[in-house]
Amino acid sequence: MPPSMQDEVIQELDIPDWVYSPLLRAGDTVDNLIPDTGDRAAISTIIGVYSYCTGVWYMKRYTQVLASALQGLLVKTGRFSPEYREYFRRIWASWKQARLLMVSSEDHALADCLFSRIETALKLIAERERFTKNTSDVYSARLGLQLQEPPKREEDPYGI
Amino acid sequence: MVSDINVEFAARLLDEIRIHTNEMGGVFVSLCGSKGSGKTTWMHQYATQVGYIHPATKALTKETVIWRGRDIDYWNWWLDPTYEWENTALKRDVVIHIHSEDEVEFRDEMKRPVTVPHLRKYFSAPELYSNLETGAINVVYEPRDYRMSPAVKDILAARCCTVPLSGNIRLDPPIFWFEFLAFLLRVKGPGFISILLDEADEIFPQNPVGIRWHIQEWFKDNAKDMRKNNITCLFSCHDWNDVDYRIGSKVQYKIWMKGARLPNSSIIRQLDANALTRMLFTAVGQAMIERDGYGTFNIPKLRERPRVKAHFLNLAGRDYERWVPTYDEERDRLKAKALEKAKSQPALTKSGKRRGRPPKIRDDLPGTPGVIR
Repeated sequence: MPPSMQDEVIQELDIPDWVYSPLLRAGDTVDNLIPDTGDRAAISTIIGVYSYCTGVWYMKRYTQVLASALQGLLVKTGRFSPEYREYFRRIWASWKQARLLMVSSEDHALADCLFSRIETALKLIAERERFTKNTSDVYSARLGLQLQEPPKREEDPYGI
Repeated sequence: MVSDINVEFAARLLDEIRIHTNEMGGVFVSLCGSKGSGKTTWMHQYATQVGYIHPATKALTKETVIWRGRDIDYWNWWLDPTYEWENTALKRDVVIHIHSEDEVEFRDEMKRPVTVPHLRKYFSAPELYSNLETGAINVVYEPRDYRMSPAVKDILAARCCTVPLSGNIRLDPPIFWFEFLAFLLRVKGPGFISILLDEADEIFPQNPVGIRWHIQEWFKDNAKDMRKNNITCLFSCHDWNDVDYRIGSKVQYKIWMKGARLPNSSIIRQLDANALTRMLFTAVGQAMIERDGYGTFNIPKLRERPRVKAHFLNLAGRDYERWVPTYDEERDRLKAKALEKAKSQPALTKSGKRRGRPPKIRDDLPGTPGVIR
């Protein structure tokens, strides 16, 4: 195909290999790249929020956003191995099939089944990589400070 | 990422409501959640944490807390030597205030007497104010036989343009809180006071009538003055709609716990499409706080202990004799019941037989034949 026509044909974005490697700044090592509590809570929030949504359109968006968030975290933590690349390629192929099935409303049920399977595949990654948070990670509401005794009422010009 | 902001918001908003400064003044906080969601547990924790920056010493100082006493309450947990204080510096004294006309006996749910280390009696709002212990948790029981003072009648007369009450009429005891707040606004010094009102729907019900409507209107108009006077008001309720909407509109910080139904004005509801579903499935002991953003926080679990029950001996209370009707009352009651039954019976014929369909005799059922069903 001549180069002039290539831009007119619909093409899937080709992500180069170097994007899947984390960018190390001064002082960074691969071992230091761990997901922080914010990252983990974000993944948990995505899973939690969409867990109560019903409907194939919600499932489409849920699997899309979870897959992209997990891939981002895997790159950030330097864990995007070749096995994961192949795994996400297959997830992406299945997602495309499910999305194309949604064109016809008669195939929504089948699309929903495919999305459910993708959701399970993504959740397994999230759990095995420990990208999710649990209740103990939420802010504990402890004061963390010490309080002084107030001055005697009759001696305190700033009292009640 | 979303949750970094979530944690930052939770920490900042919680610090704003429990660490007070002269610049910020008092705050107005609501706490909504279904039964058993952990509201009182968090209020328990809050009462131990709340403090203010003293203008002279610049130190974080214990704030004076007023806890609304209820017939079944949790304040005896603070008296337990094994109570889970966050640190020893947060320990506070507990002072119980009861009206001088009331005779109260405190026993826990196991019927064991509860020893109250500090008990003070008050007759009026001024006396209650002078009896408050600074830096301590002051548990205040409303007078069971509440009569409005002339000063409050004057305030209401100015608002209603008529004399609201004449004579010495007995009113609903929670109305006493309005009288106390009205007095506090006028005489209080620059210090900080936090007033914790559990079951606020008893104080600000949704559909007030008569004089109560005007009282709550007064409260709504003076909410901002309370904040400027360094008075913090925190109230809890089961549902947002249980409380007068006029007062709800003055709330600055809203805390939602399990089972809370978020109103349309909630930021969480506006930002999160699944907020309603999430509140239903929020764990017990988890809460969300919102103002100009929102965040989630955990409430530490407290060991379950028997609660304290207040028995007002001057009322029916545990005086068993008052629960037994007198002979005359019982006889009149039975007589009235018999008359009512006779009226509902069909009339007798001249021969003395009853009119109406005769009772059906069923002999197809097990048991004695001819049994009337």
